[in-house]
Amino acid sequence: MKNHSILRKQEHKRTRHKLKWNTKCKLCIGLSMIGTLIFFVIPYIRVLYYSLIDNQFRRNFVGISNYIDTLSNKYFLLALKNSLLLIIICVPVLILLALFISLALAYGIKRLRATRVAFILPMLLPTASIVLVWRMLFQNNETVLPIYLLFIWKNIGICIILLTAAFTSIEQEMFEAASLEGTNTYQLHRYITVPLIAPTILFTILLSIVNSFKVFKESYLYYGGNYPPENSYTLQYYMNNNFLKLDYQALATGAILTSLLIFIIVLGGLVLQRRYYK
Amino acid sequence: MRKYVFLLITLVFILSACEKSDNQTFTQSEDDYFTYKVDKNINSFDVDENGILYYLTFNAAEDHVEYILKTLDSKGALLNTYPITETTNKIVYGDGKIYYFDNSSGTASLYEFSLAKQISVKINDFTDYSAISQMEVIGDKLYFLGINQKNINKDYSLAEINDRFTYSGETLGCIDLNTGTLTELAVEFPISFSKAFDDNLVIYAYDENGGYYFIEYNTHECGFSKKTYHKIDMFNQFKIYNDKKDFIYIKLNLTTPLTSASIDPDKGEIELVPYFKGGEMICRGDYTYSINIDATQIVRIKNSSYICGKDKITMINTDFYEVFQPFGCGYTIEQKFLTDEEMALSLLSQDKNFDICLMNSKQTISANIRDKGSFYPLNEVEGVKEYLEACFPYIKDAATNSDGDIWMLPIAVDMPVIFYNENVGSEYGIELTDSIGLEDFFSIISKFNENTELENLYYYDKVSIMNNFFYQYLRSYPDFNNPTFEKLSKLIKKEMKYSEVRSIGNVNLMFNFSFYKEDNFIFMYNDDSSYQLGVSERNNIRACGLPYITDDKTNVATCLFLCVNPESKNLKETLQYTSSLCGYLQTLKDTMMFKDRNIYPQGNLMDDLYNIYTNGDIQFTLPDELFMDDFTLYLKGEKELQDVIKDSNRRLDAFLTE
Repeated sequence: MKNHSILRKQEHKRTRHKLKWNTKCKLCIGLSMIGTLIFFVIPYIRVLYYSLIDNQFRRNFVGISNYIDTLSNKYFLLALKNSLLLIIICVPVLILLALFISLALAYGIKRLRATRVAFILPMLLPTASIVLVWRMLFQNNETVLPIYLLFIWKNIGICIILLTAAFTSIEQEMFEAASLEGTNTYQLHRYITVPLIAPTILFTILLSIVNSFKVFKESYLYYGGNYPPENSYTLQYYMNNNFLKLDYQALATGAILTSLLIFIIVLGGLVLQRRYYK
Repeated sequence: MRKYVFLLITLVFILSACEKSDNQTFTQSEDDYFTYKVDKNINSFDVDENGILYYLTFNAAEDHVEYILKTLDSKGALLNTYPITETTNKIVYGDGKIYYFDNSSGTASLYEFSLAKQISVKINDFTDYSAISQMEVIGDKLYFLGINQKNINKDYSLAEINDRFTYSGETLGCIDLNTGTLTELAVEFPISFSKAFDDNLVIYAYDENGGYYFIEYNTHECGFSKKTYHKIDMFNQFKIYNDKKDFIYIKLNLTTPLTSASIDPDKGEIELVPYFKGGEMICRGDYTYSINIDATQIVRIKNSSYICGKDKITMINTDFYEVFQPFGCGYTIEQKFLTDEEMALSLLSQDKNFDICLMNSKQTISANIRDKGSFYPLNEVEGVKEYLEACFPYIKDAATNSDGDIWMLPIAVDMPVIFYNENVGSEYGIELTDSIGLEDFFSIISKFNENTELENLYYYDKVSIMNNFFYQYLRSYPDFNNPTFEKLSKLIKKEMKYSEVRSIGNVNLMFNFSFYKEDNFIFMYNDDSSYQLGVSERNNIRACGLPYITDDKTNVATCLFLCVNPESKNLKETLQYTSSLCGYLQTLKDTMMFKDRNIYPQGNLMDDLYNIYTNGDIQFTLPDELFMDDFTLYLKGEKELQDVIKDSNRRLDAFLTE
């Protein structure tokens, strides 16, 4: 009877502790959620609302008319094409390069390790000064190549950090055990390294895709204006120019469509990841 | 219960009767603006606490000048006349006596004239002093500002290179009226001072390190307060007019308004009366008195009648028009300068903290405000429709959008004008008429380029002319792929050539023409309507517009305008200000916007200007980066014309359709 009472007390104590812990967690998440609500969800809903009215002063509901206008606007479509091209061409190159360098840093060339700080430098340098150098290197070059290279060069640092961390976090014992089983190097990486770093690779790809939508400052400074050559006109230009023209509806619609596109890409990535694990 | 209801209703009636109606428009009564009928030669004046005005006048006889002191009541009726035997040009009233300095012997001698006994008594001589410009009597002390010979050559430096401060020995002194002893106040570079309601002195002075500042001198304890630095520029004098130590002064800007300001620089200013050409000023009670600049009139203004509005009206503007501010009409106007991006953000975010947007049609964002509805429609604002009806029809059209909303209030319209002197032109074989064709225009420019003898006889602004041609072109053609553009571009490149300098020829012509009336020139370009109106009475000069380059035969005009923020938290007062501004603009008619020919001076030149301005079209500009930047490369020889056309078309198409 006495033991039963002690057990009940202990159980009660554990429940209370758990409740306290849960409350603390909810409080922490709640604060963060309030921030997200105020600075992200509410503005997003507001932008969504603006995309459905004719004008922020008259506020007549026009349904999806703004979306039809935007999706039939040749410059929105051009910007969309250029933004997607940037993803399709640059993101794979960026990830492959980063994978290669990370692999070398984690397992291979010792001398390369001494130079690893150099890969982070592009992230630290101000864009304006980088663009100056870029303009000297690519004088009178109106192709999109300088922007692609600039994007890769600026983003490779963060990709290398993430991937190197993933590589080095794999326990050495797993490789040793597999070696004892007689696996070769290809099999080691195929069945151990790749599955273990796959979530990081996916995260790096998604991060790079999101960053590719933000290539504007570099391009704006490189071409020196709001109207770059057609092959460099991205969604950010479309939105920025409509902002300067006070066309909030085109801006809001463009922003909603861009966010939807990013959402679809991220969702696709997550679905792929789940399938892979299954 | 009935008793309470009755009491409540009565209370509501009483309160509503006591409330000053905000919608009441200001109509000027005689008490608001009163002109005293006085002799034309006024030297100085003062007003006592009962509103009796004392003024000093003189009669110049063959061998001597006779000084007379006269007194008038508050309705301007003459009360008394007193002869003054000394030579003086500045008086001050204090406790039934008039004090003045006689400088005729080279020494400043202070006299006291008793109004009761009608006799003057010398108080003392002050050998080093002359040019006494300001005096105040507080108790038994007389404070004055005059030049001390010992300080004339004092070295000083300016805190800011653009400060207009100059020092010629001005010194602030205090004379004990009982003993006649003088003590100097320790203010190094005094500019002006005024008696405050608490009998202290407020002094405006200059500091070599911090610039202009106010300081208070406690006349009882003989001590100074801390300095309050002020952004206000140089002015001649100011007078404190209330117990908060707000003061009245004449602001030295385009409209030289009588202005109320505060010693606290953050409180802003209120412009009361425009084009106030005042000299000596006095504030007594709610009134400001001033001699006009010709010393022929004394006017009295009721301050409270001219001060309107409780809150500041915030006017946002980009740095495009940093200097200009429309007349304040009795409201406190605060100007904020923003970048184009900040302005777009303020408009899009429906910022409640600004009330008015001051723009020029030359600014790219201006047409977007109209197109995107970022304005409060002014259709129902009192006076706006009447004002627009009085303007040229194309101004009214530009101010009204396709829905019939009056989206902006035009303040000034400018057009490019070529002033020419037919006689001087024909001496050099240059024939100018009131309608010059494009080829003729460039052949004249070519003659200027070839003949160095002519370099002092012409002036034009290359960039402004180019812009005007492009405005003309773009209102008729949707792209640059056109023979007219090619022809224009080649002519500009050949005759105007590329140079960093935009002003070509003799830049002094404009100043000499307006200030010295010198008209020995062939050709002078100008695109400022206030300048054009200022010289419109010179009848030996003619004017014409720039040549037309398309079939649209109207002259390109640019317009300075304001539009009201529909989200303004001070909307009611802002609309009242807009209404007052309409009244001001329509009454003064100091811009070239009105269709009534009779309000402008008569003459040939004015006829020419009127004809040019009648046939106008307000143009809203496209961003320079669409074509001007590339066109400059073409002028420099760094880009081919076909490439300029191709790139400009691409940008223009993106701008118009994205």
